[in-house]
Amino acid sequence: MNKKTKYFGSIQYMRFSIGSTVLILILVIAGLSVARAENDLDELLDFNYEEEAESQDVVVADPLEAVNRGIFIFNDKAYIWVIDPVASTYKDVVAEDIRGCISSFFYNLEEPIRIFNAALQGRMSDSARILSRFVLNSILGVYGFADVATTEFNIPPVKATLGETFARWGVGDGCYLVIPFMGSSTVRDFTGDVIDSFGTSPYWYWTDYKFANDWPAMMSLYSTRQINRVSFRLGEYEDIKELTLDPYIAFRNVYYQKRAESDSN
Amino acid sequence: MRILYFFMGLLIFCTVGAPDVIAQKKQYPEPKEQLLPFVDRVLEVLVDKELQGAEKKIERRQKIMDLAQERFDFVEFSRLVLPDDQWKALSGGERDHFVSLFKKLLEFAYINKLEGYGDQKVVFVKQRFNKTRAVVHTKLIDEKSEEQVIYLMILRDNGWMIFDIVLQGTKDEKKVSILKNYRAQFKEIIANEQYSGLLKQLEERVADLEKKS
Repeated sequence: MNKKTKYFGSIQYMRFSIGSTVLILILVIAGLSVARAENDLDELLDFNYEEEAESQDVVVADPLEAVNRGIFIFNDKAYIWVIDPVASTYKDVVAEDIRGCISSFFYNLEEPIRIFNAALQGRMSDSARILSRFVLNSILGVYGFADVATTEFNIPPVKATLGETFARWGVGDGCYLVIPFMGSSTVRDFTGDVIDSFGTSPYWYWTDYKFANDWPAMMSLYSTRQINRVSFRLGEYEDIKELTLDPYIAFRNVYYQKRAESDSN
Repeated sequence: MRILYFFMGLLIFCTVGAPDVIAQKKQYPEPKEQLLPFVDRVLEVLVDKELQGAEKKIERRQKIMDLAQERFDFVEFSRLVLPDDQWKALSGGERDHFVSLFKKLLEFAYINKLEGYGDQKVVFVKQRFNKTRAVVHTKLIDEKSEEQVIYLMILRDNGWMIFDIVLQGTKDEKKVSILKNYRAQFKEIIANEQYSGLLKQLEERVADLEKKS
C-alpha cells in the first residue's frame, strides 16, 4: 500500500472531503438564494396578474359612489369651464421658468409639515433630510424660489403627509372620497390633508394666524398654487377622459393602484 | 473518488449552470433587444419629416399601428383585461371581435402617450426576466422632462411581446398599470350592463376616436 492510498483511506481525508462537500453545498445554496433575491427585486415580475388585479379592485371601499360620482362630474365641469381656461391663460402669460420657481416656492413653504410628519412616522433620516432641504432652499434658494438642495446639493424631495402618518399608526382608510376641486382621496388621507394644509400650514404666517379675517389672502394663495400646478399638466386630463370608458372608475383605479403600491412598501 | 467529484460537479452544474444553458438553446434575444428597437422605430415615425402635419396624421398613425402589431400581444392583453370567467365564456369569434376593438383603443392610448412628447428618445434602465415573462424599465426623455415607462412582456413564438404598459411619472411617483386600469373599468361595466353593454361602449368609443383622428 503506497502513501497515496493510505491518505485517501485516512480520517484526515474523510474530514477534508466532508468539510469541502459541506462548504461547496453552502456556496451553492448561497448562490441560489442570491439569484432568487435578485429576482424578488422587481415586484412586477410577480406574474399572478389575474389574482393581483382581482384583489386590487377592492382595496378601498366606495359606499358613497353615487355622491362621489356627483362630485366627479362637478370637478369635470369645473375643470373644463374654469380651471383649464384660467390655467391655459396663466401658462401663456407666465414663462415656464417662473412657474417652476413658483412651484418650488410653495413646495418649500410646506417643508416644515413634512419634517414633522416624517418624524412622526419614525423616518428620522428623512426628516433630517427635509430639514436640510428647507434650510438650504430658504437661504441659498432665496425663500425657496430655487430648489438648490436638489440641483446643487443632490438632496431630492422627500414626501411625507399626515395621511401616511395616520396609516403608520394603523388608522384605516375609511372609504373612497372625491373632493371638490381636488379629486381622489380617502377619509383618512383627506382628514390628513386638511390638517396638513390648514392646521399646520405655514401659509398662516401671511395672514396673521386669523383665517376668518383674511380669507381672500388664503384663498388666493391656494388657488395660485393649484392653478400653477395644473399649468404643467394641461391636456392630460382630456386625454385620459377620451381613452377611458368610465373615467370615474379609471381615476379611482389609478388611486387604488398607487395606494396598493405605497402600502406594500 | 472521481465519481464523487463527478457527482459534485453535476450537482453544481444542475443548480447553477443548467438554466443558462437551456435558456441559450432557445436562441431568443433578450427582451430589451427586442423592445428598444421597436420603441425607436415608433419614435422615428413620430418625428419623420415626411409624415409631419395634421393631414398626414392618419398615415402616421397607420404606420405606428402596423409596428405595434409586431411587438404587442393583443390577445394576451385582452385575455387579462377581461374577468377570467368572461373570457372563458366567449367563443372564438367573439374573442377575435373583442381583441380587434380593444386593440384599437390601446393603439390610440399608446400613440397618444408618445405624441405628447416633442423630440424624444427612449433610454434603457433595467430588465428582469424568467423563462416566459419579462419586465423592461425604460425612460422616455425629451429636453424638458423624463418619464418612466415599464413594459411587461411575454415570450411567444415570434419573440418577446408586450402585454402591459406601466406608467410612472417621475421616479418617486407610484406606478399605474394600463392593463389593470382598463380591467377595473371593464369589470364594473360588465357588472352593470353585461358584456353586450361593454361591447357597445367600446364600439362607440373607437368609432369616436377614429372620426377625430
